[in-house]
Amino acid sequence: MRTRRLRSLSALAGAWLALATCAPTEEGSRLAAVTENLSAAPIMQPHDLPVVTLTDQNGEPFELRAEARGKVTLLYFGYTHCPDICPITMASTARALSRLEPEEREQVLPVFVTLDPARDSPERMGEWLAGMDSTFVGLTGTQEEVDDAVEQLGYVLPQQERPDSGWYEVAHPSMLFVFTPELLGRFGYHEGDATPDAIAADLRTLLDFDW
Amino acid sequence: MSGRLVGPPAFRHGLRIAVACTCLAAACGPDGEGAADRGSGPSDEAPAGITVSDAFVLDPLGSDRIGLYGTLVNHGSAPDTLVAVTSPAARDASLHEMAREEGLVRMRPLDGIELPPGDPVHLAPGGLHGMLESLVRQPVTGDSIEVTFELATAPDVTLAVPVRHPADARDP
Repeated sequence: MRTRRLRSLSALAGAWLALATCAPTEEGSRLAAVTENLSAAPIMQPHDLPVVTLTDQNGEPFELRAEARGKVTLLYFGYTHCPDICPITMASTARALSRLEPEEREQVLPVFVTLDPARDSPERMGEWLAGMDSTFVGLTGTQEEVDDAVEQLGYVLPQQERPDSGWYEVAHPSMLFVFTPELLGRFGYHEGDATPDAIAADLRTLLDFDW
Repeated sequence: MSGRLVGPPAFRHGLRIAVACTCLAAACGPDGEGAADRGSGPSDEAPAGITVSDAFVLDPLGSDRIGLYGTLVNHGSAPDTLVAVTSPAARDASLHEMAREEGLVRMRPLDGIELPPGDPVHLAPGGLHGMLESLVRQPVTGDSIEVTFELATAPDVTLAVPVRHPADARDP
C-alpha cells in the first residue's frame, strides 16, 4: 500500500515535472514574443495586483482585484497636487484609450490611486480625473490603506511629515504599471516612455494575447 | 520588487517645441500675448543676460497648479540664479526639483536654481521646474499666459508662454 502510494506520488511528480519543464517554455516563448513588441518594460518577477478595497471617486468601495480580473489594468500611484508626472501620465493614458475601439476600451481598467488621501477626497479625485477621462477609476482611502497598496508591490515608502497646512512632499512610484488579466504586474512604463502612441499600441498587443 | 527590477528611470528631457521663442530679457517686455512668437530676431550683437527659450506651461485640466518649463541660458561671464517665477495667472509660485530613489519620485522645493555661464539649464517635466499655484483662472491648451523668470543679477525675463496639453508634454 505504502509502495503504491509512493509510486503514484512519483508518477504525479513526474507529470508535474514534465508540465513544469514544457509549459513554461512554451508560455515563455509566447510571452517573449509579446514582450518584444511592447514599449513597456518587462518586469522579470511579476507581482500580484494588490489586495485592497479602496474608495472610488463616487464614494463607493472598490475591490481592486475583483474589478480588474479579466482586464488589462493600468495602475498609477500619485496625487492630484503633483505638477507634471501624474497629469502627464494620466492624460497620456486617456489619449491612448481614446484611440481604442469601444470593445477594446471595455477590456481596459485605468486606475489612479492617490498617496495623498488627506487632500485627495473622492470628490477631488473625481474633479481631477474628469479633466483627463471621467471613466477613469480614482481611488483613495486612509493613508495606511493606500500606503499598503503600494507596499504590496515591493516599494518602501519613506517616513513623511504631513502637516495640516502648507507644502509637504509626497513620494510615489514613477512607473505606470500594466497588470494582465490574470492580475499579474508583468510590465511597466518608465516616466518618459508612457506616451499615448506607445500605450495605445501596447494595449492592442496585450488585448490580442490569450492570457 | 519592481523598483529594484526596473530601476530608477532616466528621464528624457523632451523639450521639443517646434517654435522656438528665444527672447532676450531686453527684447521681451511684459506685453502679454504674442511675445513668445516674436523671437529675438536677427541681431549682430551677442546676447546678454539670461535668455529663456522653448518655455511652456501645462494645461491644468481643472487642477489649481501647473508646471512651468523652458531652457535658460546665462550669457554672462558670472553665475546667476533663478530665484523665482511669477505670473499674473497665479497667486503663488515656487521652484522645485524631482528626486528619485528606489523607484520612487519625490518633489522638493528649491530656494533657487543656479545658472552657470554658458550652460543651458533645462526646466522639464520630471526634473527642475517652476510651479504656478492657486491659479486665478484656468488657462486651456492653445492659450498663452504671461510669466516672469526672476534672476538674482540679470534683468528679469517676462514672456508669454504657450499652454500645452499634458499628453503632448513629451511628444508635442
